[in-house]
Amino acid sequence: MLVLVAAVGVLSACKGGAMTPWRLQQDADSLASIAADGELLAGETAKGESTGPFTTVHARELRQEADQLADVVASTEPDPGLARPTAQLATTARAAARVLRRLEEHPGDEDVAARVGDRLGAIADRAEQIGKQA
Amino acid sequence: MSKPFQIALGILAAIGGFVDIGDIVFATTAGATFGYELLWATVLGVVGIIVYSEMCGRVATVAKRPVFDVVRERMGFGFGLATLVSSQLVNLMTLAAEVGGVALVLQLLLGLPYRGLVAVALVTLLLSAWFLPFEWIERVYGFGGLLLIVFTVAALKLGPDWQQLGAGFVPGLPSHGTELLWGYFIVGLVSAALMPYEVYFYSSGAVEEGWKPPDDLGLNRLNAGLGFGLGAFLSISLSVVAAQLFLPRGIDPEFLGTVGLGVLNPLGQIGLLLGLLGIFFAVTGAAIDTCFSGAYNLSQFFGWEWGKYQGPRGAPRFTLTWIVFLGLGFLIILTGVNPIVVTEYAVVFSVVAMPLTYLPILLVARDEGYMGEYANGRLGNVLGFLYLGVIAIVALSAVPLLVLTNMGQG
Amino acid sequence: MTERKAIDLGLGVLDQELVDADGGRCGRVDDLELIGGPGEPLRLTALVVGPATWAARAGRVGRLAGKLYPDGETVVPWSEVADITHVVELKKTDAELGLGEGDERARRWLSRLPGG
Repeated sequence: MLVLVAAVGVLSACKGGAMTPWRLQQDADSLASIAADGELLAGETAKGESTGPFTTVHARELRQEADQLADVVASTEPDPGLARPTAQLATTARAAARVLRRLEEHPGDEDVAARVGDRLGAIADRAEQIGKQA
Repeated sequence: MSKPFQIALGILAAIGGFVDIGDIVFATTAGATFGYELLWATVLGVVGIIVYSEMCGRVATVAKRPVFDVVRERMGFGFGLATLVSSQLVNLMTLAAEVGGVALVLQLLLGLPYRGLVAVALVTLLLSAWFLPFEWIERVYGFGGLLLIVFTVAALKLGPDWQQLGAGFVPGLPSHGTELLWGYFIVGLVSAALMPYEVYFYSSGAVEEGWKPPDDLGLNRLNAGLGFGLGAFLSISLSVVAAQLFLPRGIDPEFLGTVGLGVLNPLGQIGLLLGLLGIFFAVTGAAIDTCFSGAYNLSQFFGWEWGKYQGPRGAPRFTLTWIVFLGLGFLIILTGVNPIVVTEYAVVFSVVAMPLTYLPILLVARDEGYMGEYANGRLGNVLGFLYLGVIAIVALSAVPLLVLTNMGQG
Repeated sequence: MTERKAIDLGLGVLDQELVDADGGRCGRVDDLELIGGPGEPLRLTALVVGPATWAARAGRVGRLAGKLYPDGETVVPWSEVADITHVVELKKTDAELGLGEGDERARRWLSRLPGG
């Protein structure tokens, strides 16, 4: 039973497979979540409220998640009509990862954080838009 | 130290000790997914742990038997061994999750590399468990866990919709999301509140501390009722914060860092540091409790001398067991597995095995041969059997829901 | 005057904890030794402690558990039992009865550690 459950867990994160409308919506939601999370973090960092370690570690976690999402999305076979949104989602996820890396590497810079926050807000909206095309 | 003061300290420690990594993960995710709508599930779970631990405490005090004593006696060697093996596997999963959780929170506080912090967590646990006396462990980590009250402050500061919040305490179908996902979170919340290591540790602790009827029975009821009951507030606070901060933004909390944002946003840097420290103490305490539970269970089942109070010379096999257990938990986390994922598995599987340890305790608690005048009264029996039903339903639906919702991903 | 007290062998003796004269725990009753065949008077002669019966009571897992338990089997004559309360109380110490050797071995291991 444990093996079955573990298998399900592993398979769900696997690369490849078809990009269906449902999956596109799910992945878009995931990206929107990462971006909103990062935007919240950036907001606090811009106010000078966060600590260096906290911003760095959490930004890194989010960045790695965004990168992994981009990899997985880029490796799928999009259903007919979904090729463009799928490509857009992968690109947007990479953009999120880049932006999060700036926050990760400059956790004490309030200006950087403010700009990162704005960028991530825009990315979150973009992800939502892409999801609606599913 | 006066008796009422001692009792108050004990209850405070119990409150702070209630939350562990499972509660943190499920309470936050439930709030971020369903808002206030599942607060009743947390309450359902908390009443369950109160009922279960009160019975375990009473059995330990009157019949002088902690949980696995009862399991061996009532189920015999065959069934008892199966129960022991499944309980220990769950304990080990839980321990790994807690150790990983400690490393994660240390990382958020200090920013140092994860692997190194896993070693720091191991050393902290080893030294605490080896050198600190029993009461000190409970006090230090219990009071430290009370720092989590900062999440309650955060929840209030964010200004919740009180009407919606109140409605969340009434069971009902979800307003959005699938019913399967809703079911999965009910399982998770009830199970996270009812983590079995808590009762193994609690009942063994009652024997360690030499509780005697009738005086300590009141203490048992207070610890179970107030300690766990008020501890639930901390869990509920995590959900309320998530409902206000994460749900509107569509944030699906996947990291401990996200939980930290819950105090950082409303309360600033002080809130963040207190919150992270609170998580550190709560999860470290849970790790120690789990690790001892593994040793208690094995020793009690096989009739070895056991007890933290005995020290290493007095109870050597017991001591070796918890050390080995800790080592195994550490090795599991060292494989690089995500502690949050391990937590979810540990919480779900722990409820699957729970009927096996709950039923013997219920049978003994209501048996006048063992308990004399202290056997379950009418209310005790009603609640006892009611929760047997709840636990059975949750246990049967746990794994199917885990698979069907893809571990809560929908 | 001796009091006749019913002792439930199944629930009250088998699988019960053994406590020696010093109050120390020294194992559990894994099996009962009864003398007398079918139709003859049965007498309980001894308590058996050790993994010999585990295979019969718990199949493969029991046998595996038995392999991890190097103590073998110890027979405690029924005459050594002082009383049956919530545990089985013995008249002698564990060392005198051949019990508790596992803890001795473990003690030697632990003495290598600081504070052990």
